[in-house]
Amino acid sequence: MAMLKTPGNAGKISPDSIRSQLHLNGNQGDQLDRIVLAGKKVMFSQQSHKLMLDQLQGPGTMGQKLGQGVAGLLALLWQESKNSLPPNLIIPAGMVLVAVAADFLRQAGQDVSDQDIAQGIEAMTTALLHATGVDADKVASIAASGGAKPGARPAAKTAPKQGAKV
Amino acid sequence: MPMAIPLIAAAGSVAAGIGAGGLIGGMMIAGGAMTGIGALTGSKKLMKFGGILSLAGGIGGLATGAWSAAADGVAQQASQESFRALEYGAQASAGMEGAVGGLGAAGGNAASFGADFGALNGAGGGLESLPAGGAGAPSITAPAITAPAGAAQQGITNAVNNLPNVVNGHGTTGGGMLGGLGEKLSNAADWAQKGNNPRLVQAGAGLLSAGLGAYGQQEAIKTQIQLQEEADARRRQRLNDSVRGVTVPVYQPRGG
Repeated sequence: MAMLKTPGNAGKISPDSIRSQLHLNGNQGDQLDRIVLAGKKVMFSQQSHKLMLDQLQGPGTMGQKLGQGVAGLLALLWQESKNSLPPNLIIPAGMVLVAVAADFLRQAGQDVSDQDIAQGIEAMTTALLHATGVDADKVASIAASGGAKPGARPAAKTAPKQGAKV
Repeated sequence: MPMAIPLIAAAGSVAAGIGAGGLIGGMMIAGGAMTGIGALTGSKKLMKFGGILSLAGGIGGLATGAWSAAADGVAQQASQESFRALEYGAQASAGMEGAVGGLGAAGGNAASFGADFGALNGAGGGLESLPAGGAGAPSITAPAITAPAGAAQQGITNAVNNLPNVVNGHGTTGGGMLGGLGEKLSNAADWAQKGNNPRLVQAGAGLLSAGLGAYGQQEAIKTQIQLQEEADARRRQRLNDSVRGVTVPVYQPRGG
């Protein structure tokens, strides 16, 4: 295609590289592929393609626009699929879709860095967590503290340590 | 305005439908990738998100079922903060107060509603801090307090779904979480809501619902396509056979 280029801004993060790092089991891989395919279908259809480009030219950083766009897309897919999406595959699928959108923009000649993708994934995750009533900052702090906060449920990793010390 | 309605509906359905534990479980699936991308790009928050995997015993926790337990625990712990913010927002807005008061009234037995609430599971702390039985709160639209647990559960779900409308109606961002969400997603989903996009979304969603139900359906579709191709081939063969050996007369004008 004439539109395709090989720009020098090609980053290391790609949809395939993200997918390969996901810890999927059983048929989760197939399910994830279907969600991503459905997302691509909406994202790149003839009718919505121009609208997507318009959205990406709006205000905000590239990462925010990528993340918020994919979060909105996932919310719509969840709604229209009559809640049939496996909830635990929504964020992994969103990560891949952020990379897909970034990949497309790169091929179209736009500068999309790996940092933009990371910011997009962060924005997408934060928006989805907020939608379910979860404070993303709180989740980050819990994860960073290793679940050692008071009131945290005993995690599989911390329990043996405590037992070993006693 | 036309854009806002489906957007809020979508956001509301997400809030009401997706269990927070499920999303946190997804973060565990993606934990390795998040950590890797965070390390590559220097994103500290992504690295923190990825660190959630370690709460459930790392990758090994997947096999032992520790992931789901840890995900629910994190979701409960993290959702309390959000609902406390919601509670503060309710004090600033009469409409919000009514809605949350309804939650408080219906939530007298919130602790016994079970694990199906998703984000509402973590709201126990926030709800308990409200006046008992919703005392002092305006009348509510939620079902009766004495209704069975199933009806009360539906009432709370309805009340939560109504929160974005209440927030918008009073022109305040007292909702905090929900108001911020609407603002964040309004631009994001705008392009997908215009024109004929609902049909496109339905097409994509149809693909999902057809595929996610059972893997056998995919095989059935393959078989159907194969049978159709075979039927086409037979039809083509019949057409070819019908004209095989037929000589086409050539007409020439007289005197030509």
